[in-house]
Amino acid sequence: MLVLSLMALFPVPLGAETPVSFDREIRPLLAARCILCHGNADESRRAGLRLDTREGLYGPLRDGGRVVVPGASGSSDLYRRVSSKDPGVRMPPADEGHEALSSEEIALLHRWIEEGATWEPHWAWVAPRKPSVPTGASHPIDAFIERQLQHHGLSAASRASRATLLRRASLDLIGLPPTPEEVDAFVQDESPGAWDRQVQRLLDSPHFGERWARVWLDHARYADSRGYEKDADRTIWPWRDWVIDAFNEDIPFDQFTIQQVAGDLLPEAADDQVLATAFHRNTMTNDEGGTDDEEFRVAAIVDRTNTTMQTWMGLTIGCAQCHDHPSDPFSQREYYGLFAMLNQTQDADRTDEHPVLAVLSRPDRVLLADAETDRDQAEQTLEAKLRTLATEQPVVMAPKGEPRDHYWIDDETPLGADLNQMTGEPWPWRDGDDAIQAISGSRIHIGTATGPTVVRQQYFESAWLPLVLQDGDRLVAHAWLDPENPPAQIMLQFHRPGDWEHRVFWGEDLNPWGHLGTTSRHRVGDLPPTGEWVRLELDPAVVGLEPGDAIDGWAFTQAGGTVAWDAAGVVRSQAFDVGPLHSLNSFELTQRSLSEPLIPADIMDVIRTPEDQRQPSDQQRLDRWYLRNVQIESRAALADELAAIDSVDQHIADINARSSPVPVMRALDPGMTRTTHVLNRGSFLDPGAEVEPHVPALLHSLPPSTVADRLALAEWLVSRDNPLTARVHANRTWERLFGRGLVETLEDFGTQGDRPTHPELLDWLAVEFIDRDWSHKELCRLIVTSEAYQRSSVPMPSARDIDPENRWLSHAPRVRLEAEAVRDQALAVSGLLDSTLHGPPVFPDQPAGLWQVTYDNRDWPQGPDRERHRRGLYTFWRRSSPYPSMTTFDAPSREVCTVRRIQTNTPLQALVTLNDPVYVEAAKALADRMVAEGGDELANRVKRGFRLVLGRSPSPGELAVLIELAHEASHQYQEMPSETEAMLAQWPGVVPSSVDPEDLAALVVVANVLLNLDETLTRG
Amino acid sequence: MNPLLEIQQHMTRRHFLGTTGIGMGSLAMAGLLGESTVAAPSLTASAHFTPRAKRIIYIHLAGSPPQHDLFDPKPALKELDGQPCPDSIFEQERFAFIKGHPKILASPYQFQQHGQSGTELSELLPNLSGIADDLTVVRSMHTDEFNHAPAQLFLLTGSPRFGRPSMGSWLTWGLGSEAHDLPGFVVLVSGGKAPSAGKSTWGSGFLPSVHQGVQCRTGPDPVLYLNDPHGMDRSMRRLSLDALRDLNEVALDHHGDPETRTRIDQFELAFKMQVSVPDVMDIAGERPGILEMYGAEAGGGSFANNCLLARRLSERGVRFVQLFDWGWDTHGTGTHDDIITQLPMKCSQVDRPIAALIMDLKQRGMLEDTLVIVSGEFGRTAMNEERNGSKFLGRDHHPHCFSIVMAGGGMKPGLTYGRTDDMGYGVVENPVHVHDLQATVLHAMGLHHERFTYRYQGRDFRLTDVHGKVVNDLFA
Repeated sequence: MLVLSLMALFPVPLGAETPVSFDREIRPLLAARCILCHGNADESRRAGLRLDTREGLYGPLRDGGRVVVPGASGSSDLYRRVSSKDPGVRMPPADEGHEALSSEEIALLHRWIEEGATWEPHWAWVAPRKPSVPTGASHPIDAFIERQLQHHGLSAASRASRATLLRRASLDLIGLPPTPEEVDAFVQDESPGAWDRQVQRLLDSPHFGERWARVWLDHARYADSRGYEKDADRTIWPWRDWVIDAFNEDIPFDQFTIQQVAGDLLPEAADDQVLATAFHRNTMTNDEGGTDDEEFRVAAIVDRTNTTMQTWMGLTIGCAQCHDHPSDPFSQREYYGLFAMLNQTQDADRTDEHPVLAVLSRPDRVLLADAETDRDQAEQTLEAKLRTLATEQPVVMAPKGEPRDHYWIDDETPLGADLNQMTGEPWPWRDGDDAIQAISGSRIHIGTATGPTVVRQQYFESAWLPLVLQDGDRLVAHAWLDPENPPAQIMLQFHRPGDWEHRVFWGEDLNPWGHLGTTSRHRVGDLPPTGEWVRLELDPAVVGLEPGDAIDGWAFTQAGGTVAWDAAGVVRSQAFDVGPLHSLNSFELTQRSLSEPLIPADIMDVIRTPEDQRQPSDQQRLDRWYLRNVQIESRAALADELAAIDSVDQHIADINARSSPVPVMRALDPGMTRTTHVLNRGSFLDPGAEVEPHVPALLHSLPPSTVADRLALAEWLVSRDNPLTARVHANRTWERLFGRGLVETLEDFGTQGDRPTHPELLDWLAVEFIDRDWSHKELCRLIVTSEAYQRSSVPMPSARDIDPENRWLSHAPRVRLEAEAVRDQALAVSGLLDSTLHGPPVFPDQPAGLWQVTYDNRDWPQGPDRERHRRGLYTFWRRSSPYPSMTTFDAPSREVCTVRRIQTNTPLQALVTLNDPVYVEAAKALADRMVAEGGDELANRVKRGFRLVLGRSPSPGELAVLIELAHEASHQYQEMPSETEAMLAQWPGVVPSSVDPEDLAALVVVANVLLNLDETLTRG
Repeated sequence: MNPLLEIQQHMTRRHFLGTTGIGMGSLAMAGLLGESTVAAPSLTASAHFTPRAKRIIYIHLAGSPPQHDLFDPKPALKELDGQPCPDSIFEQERFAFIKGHPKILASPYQFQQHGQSGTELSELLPNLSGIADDLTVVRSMHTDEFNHAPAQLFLLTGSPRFGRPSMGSWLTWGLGSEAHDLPGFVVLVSGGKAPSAGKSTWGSGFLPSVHQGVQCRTGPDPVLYLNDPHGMDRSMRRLSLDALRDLNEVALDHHGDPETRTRIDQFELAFKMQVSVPDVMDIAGERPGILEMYGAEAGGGSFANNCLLARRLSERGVRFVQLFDWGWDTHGTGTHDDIITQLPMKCSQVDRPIAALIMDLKQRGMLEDTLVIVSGEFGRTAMNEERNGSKFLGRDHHPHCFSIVMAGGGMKPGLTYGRTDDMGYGVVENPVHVHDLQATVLHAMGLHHERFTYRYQGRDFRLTDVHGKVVNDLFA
């Protein structure tokens, strides 16, 4: 019992007294040396033996022997084979070039078997449980770390200086360095809780979201282009802004996950939740001619499957696309089970990026919110006035008498008319003028065709108050044909509910509709004269209409030319009731008489209800609708209020027209769903057995009776039973703050990945993360408030000998800044940084000619108005040609998910920070600041520059080197006035009178050195 | 030195910053690290066996030239010219652009046997014909891909998808570089456009980014940001680098981080490259006869210039020089991409320079350990494409067979390898898959393609994926 409790306390072997741990010592040995031939993959398995499962290890061999007999190494074939001196017997086989196990490894296997060969599952397949925190440290993280330090005989480095610490935390948490003033404030804050307050300030900074979005974008393979050969632009930056906001608002990581994987499937999903699903629309699409859309759709689903498991669970299951995973227990069938859950979306490698969501920019969202408030107010004003108006007015009868024109379309289209349904164009109204005076009222409508015989028309249908023909009615309209640009044909068309087959024309027969010589295409004769109004009048019978017919639509059609129209309706001698426009009673009577009323259905329902049975609220709704939309008197009284509403509606329409179509996930409609098959060797052309959506058997299962869709997958990812998601995110966050994960292989928590250095700490962090409501900010706070985080990065002498890799964290790591931060820092310390959040990608300077794109002549925009000094996060990310200085500093191309950037240290990086114009411009701006803020003394100017860049003050030795450089450079520039001129003339701004040009040029050289210091490029 | 100790020190340096864990391939145990690893994480291993070639010049004709008109004569097509192709072929095929039932297109160009070897080459390649006995022609190449970007990636990275290291990255990672003041993997592009798959064709994928190809351009800034800013001459740069070094040394003394030592060295290498790169790119000092031989012009950016630069880079120890030349996608939609106007024009641009490169390497004694490869990413059809009824002659994409040319590097000179059927449609003898070519190239460099692996995301990756076999018959 004593031994067991020791094991729990010390996750590393302590010596011969501690029993061998299968998971910690034996499984990694088997994984490294045996599993590729004796593992999970059916195809490559030799001798039917598998050592990756309990059954395989303890089961019988084909020849009847036993692999492992607990307590009896002599009877265990595993031991016998690895320890054999006979090359024909020994494993791994010598004849295939494999080395024998070392004597230590063989001894370890021996001891394990003799001790009873206890089996344990791989640590990462078991959900974490919160271990008890060791005593002796005030911060739980330090308690776990301290125990390891003691065990390894290490002592912790001292605390970092406050200047170093604040620079470290600022770069880690918000990706930007602190200002000297922020450093001073922290240094001078002697009250308790000073560090906590700094941490809080950084967590509250809007740049926190930018910094962590940067990390997430690599996982999401975010880019502003689609990839593959054409690599066309893609508008998906609103999703990037969503990520920034999500981190700033600290959306719990479980919600963050669910919204990105399946936000569209949430009940009554808000736009932002649908926008979140663009995470998986960052897959590449191939627009190249001749490509098979299904091939690349499948490639996108494969990518989503791999990315999901990689990002949330730290698993590399991509190999199971083609065959069973060789080392981890995932079968090819299980791979396609996950694939199936992601295989039911509408997107299909289409050039139009369907489906998309219209998303507004941040400024437009504010404008829209304001406009909607304005609209509410305008409605309220209207409502208030409506209450003062009456629904009944004296009814006017048009008396029987001589035939008179009664216009239905004159200065306005009839109420409720649905205009130009096909084109959505507005009605082409124009005020009459001296050239063409209106026949009636003040307005005419006018159309111009785009070519000599091109047909154009303005038309409507569905008018609420149709033109009901009476006995003796003749149809009438007025036309004016442009003598400069006469049409070849003019035509009138009439609509009854259900058909348009009533046409009459003048001039050439250029329209295909209907049949010539019938009422569907009746030719009257030649075109009327041009340059004057002509009256077109016809018997409705000519177009097949008769008394009682209700005309609810009219089309004014022309072939070629310019034609003005006005005053259209009937010539009538019968008396008729114009009451509907004045009296609600009359309106209701009319509507009830129509066979197919066209007013809104809910209003018609009220009208059809006998008055004494109506709800007061329904009656009120009818009254207000009528007053607002129909009654002439009330509409005149409400003209201002209605105009105000129209104006704000137009404003809203204008804002919405500026929205960006962002590709998002949408589920296929039921009945359209795809059947998923195992794809043999991963080929979409070779489907195998059908697969139902399901999760791998090894891991926790879906809740009973869950439909295994994308939402189920999302919830499964963040289930408390999930052994990986919380650990993976805690580890990812740790890696950004400590330079290396507790599990170094962020991308592989499987048996081939590294084991955690501090397994209990990792589990404690993971569970604590969940318990703190999956708060990323709290996780960050937890880590950076530990003493371990706040240590100096200068190792203690013992650490250099005992733990040169700093696995046990006796001191803080030194980490080179990542690509974006290298640039952001230079802009920030020089004062150039434009710290605007959000928005479309920007195009800072890059050398000409890099964007050589096949099939496309677009080039990197060069011009004065670009936002050149925004943070690197916003730089346009083209997959086939990423921003060069970023890739030089190890940024990925974002073609696929990248969870860890491998850092390099190359001469090309030196060339970037020495010579890239962005950095030279920053050096010049920094030199200007040194002069402006450092006073007249050279030493003070240099000190100011040093503090701006590094936060701390230079040592006397450092200062001396820089002053010497400034002197020598200034001296040289005095000898070379043209060089001085060249150095200063390339940037805007004048040389202040307080400094000689050669001194300023020399300070640019000093600033260039400051921006290139190892310490500058490194967070220490 | 004890190799294991060396590995530990190597690892130590990388781990000091908590940066990266490079999975060491099996080679790492075989004894390693003869050379400076200033350029950071690389395997820098000795070869698996004695290499035949030390360096490679890979000339990629982007878009893919038509093998029927250049390397693989098909006299049988003369009889069938203009007739519908056999149904059996047409029915089972997916084409990129051909619609309807395509018609046979016989080559309008004459072929002749050349040299002792009798290698048959087209009249469009007179200079290469003149050195036919130095060439190794493979007529039985085939690939899995028939769109440009995936096919280029497949050929040069072993996978049709993005994200894998390119051949040059694999080789500099595996073998390091013999160039002390130049990158080990240099890319030169001509023809006005980059290849369809973009920079991924010379990307380092999951290998450390130091191994990605460095594109050198003609003109004043041959490597990005190579030039000092205006107003900073070389002496001023030296002055500032001295100060930078002094300050970095102070820091190094303080915290002892080996990455700082590396950074100090990298700044010095950058300073050297500021001279060495323009120097190697400046061909004005070549003898006039050499310029004439290639058809190169000082200051120009032509394919001929790039061939000469390839030789200069190879001479200075650059491990892998990758040339891309755009303009070979001869569909026949107009004179800009047909086989009557465009193809002879492109041939006239590359025939002489490639022949000159091979002769120049030979006269300098470099051909025997420099492998020159000339290829497209796939083949072209035996049928006329006639896109939208085009009257211009051209051929569509075709994955089932294509031809490549190699020279030097231990290849058997004068050999014509592999055979295609009478239509030039499929391979009937000695097929060489893209993965086989990759295995063979690695073999020439002394590397066993199955043992040359990089562990990433839990898997050992290879240039040849899980395929490929060395074509031993190609070696002399």
